[in-house]
Amino acid sequence: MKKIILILFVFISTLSFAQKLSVSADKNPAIVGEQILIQYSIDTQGNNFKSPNFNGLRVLSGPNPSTQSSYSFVNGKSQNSTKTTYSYYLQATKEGTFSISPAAITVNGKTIKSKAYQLKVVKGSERNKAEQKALSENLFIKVETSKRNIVVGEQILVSYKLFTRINNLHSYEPSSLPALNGFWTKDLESSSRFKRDVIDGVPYYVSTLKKSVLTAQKSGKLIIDPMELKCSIRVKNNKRNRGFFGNNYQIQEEYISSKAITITVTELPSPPPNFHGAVGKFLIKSEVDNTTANANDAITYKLTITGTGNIELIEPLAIQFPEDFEVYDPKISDRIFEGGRKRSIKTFEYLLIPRYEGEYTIPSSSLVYYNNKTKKYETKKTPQHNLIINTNNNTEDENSIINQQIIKTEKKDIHYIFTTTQLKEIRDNILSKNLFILIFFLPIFLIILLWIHNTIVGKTDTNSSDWKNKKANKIALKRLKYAQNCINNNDFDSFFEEIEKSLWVYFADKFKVSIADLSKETVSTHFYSNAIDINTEKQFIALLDECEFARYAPASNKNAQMGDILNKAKHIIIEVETALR
Amino acid sequence: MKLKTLIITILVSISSFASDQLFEKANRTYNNSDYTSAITLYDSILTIGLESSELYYNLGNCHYKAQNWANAIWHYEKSLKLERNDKTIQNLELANLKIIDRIEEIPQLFYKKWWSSFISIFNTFSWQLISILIIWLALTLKILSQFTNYKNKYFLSILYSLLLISIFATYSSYQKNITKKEAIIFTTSIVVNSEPKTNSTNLFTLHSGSKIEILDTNEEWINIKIANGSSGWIKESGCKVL
Repeated sequence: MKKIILILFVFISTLSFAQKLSVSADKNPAIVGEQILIQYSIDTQGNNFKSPNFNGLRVLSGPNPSTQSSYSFVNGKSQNSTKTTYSYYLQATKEGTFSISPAAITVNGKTIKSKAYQLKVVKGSERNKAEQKALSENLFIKVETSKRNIVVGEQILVSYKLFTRINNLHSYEPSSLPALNGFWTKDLESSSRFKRDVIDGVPYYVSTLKKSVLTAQKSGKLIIDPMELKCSIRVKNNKRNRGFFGNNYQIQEEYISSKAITITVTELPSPPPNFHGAVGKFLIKSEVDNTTANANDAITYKLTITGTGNIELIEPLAIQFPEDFEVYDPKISDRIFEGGRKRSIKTFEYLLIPRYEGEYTIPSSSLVYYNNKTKKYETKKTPQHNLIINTNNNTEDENSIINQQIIKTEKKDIHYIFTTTQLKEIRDNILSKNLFILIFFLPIFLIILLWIHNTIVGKTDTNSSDWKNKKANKIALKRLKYAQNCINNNDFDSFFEEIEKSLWVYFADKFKVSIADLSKETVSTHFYSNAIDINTEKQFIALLDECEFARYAPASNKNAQMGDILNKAKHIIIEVETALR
Repeated sequence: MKLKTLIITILVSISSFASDQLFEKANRTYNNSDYTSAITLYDSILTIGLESSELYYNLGNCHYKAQNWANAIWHYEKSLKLERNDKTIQNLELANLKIIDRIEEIPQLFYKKWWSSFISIFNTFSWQLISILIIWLALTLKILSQFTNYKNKYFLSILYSLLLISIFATYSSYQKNITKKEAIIFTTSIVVNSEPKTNSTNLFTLHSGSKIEILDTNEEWINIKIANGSSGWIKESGCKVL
């Protein structure tokens, strides 16, 4: 039982030990400027390491992960252990206590945090300081510029030089390169060989680290950033603990940097319209390989610019080639020496293909540049070239193709002014709203009035209006439509039936009498109550009787009888219609 | 009041001869590329109290040549208000390319486009006259049909439909040319605010030459709308009303 507990305890303790991210530093307190090694280690394999925040400390390198695995077999027991270490090289730039925030790592899905670490940085001793001072006098970077006050587009030569008097400089490499914002930079080749140079009677070994030609791209105060150099110096090991191989020296790392230099860049004085930023002193030359050529044969037009200045930034000039020439993009070649500080050459080679015969001129083009010596704008012009293009005799086989040109205007301009005009008084040339409404709505009102008049007057007017008669006639015709059809078809049998039916239905519809109540009595009562003439009533009933009689006792002249009865029926309906109004 | 108009009419008729000469003199000055002098000469015609579409057009050309884009646009727009002319429209398009702001117009539906080009065939005054002419013609025909046997229903119905179209066109034209107030920005740049206050949110910035529509006025502030539909408030002093 005791044994089990013991085993369990050991197991737990190893488990808890395994899951700890420990932090250590090789020196604490450290001295300003010294290199400090900080290590985070864990006794297992982990991933997803989160860097701590080194407040105010400069990280020289890191995190550098390393994994150690060991397998030991002692007294018949095997042990397998893994150790992961993340190391940082730091440097303190000032004294004080720096707290490094905890780092974190993920082990088997669990996040393990280290403790925060306090690092004390103290000032180096006086002797150390003196050493530092002596070092800065003997090892430094100097920036040399050819000019401090320039105009936009002007070039300066900037060289970073390493001066040294110490003979134990082991190696050096730049740790940060200058950004040189606002400049167009062209690096020149420079030899890093040390040369002897004497300044104020003190001999130095000088090496050029970087040599560039800078072209100012904007105005204002532009800063040439410092360059920082990491130097390794061999120093004698003072401490007793010499290396295994009896190495007396150790490498000490020092960071040195140059001073920032401000360059004042002024804007160019009111540039002329065709100035495109060329600054320096230039000459311009143009050549044409053939002044006489055949149509469709190539001609080369070569423009050469020579001189000193920002020649590399000169864009192709705007040359007004004749419209009938096919112009290809120029082939640009240049030979630049020292970024344009020495006499350089830039050529633009245009390939021209004249399409039609004739005499053409390539007009002179001009290069406007700012001369930074005389502080004036100067213009250099190319000569004008006259070209004679002859007809191409080899184009007979192309004759079938109609070669026409489409007329088009490339540059648009406004139309010409009007030469004549009809001037009028300035006033709002419209009818005012109220006047317009008056003039416009008066006729509408009149039309509406007329319409209303027509409808009202039309209703009251009865007897005289033939319009009303027409209507009654229409109704009668509609009612007797079938009877009329029967006459047309000579259908004698159904004619009388139709007439009778039409009359009864008309009566029923007109006086709203149901079919069941239809009788001669109802006719007389309804005619009476509607104040219809007694003659009309008699005629109506007589016609009904006649129809009934005719159906069963056919007469000799049927056609005449039918026409007579139809007219009678029509007459009665018209009579009733007019009486009812 | 009547006397006053009479006097003005007489004065104008006297001065019209002189102003024609002024116009020709200004044209000659324009031909000599002396645009600033031409502007003063043309402007002097305006100060007499005379105007014409061509006069505004020529002034627009002078300002264009003198590279006063905002002024050129203002005069072209003014010319178009009086009379529609293709030359003016094309010049205005060119002038609009020169200014800083490029306002994307909201595309209109095809029938709206047709309608707006239809109503711009005549100016508002002509549309008013057309509407009045048609309604009186319709009235005459109506009365004629009342008292005589003349009846042409077909012609009358055409007349009524024409009347309907012309009255809508008159209304639209009135809305477009008289009620709608437009202006051109004259200051180099002006910030459009969300409210008629100096410290309100800045919505966008307009530059000289841009055309705006005035929706509302509040003391020295005006509520504006531009062709892409955005609106806001600017100070009245920054623009010149057409």
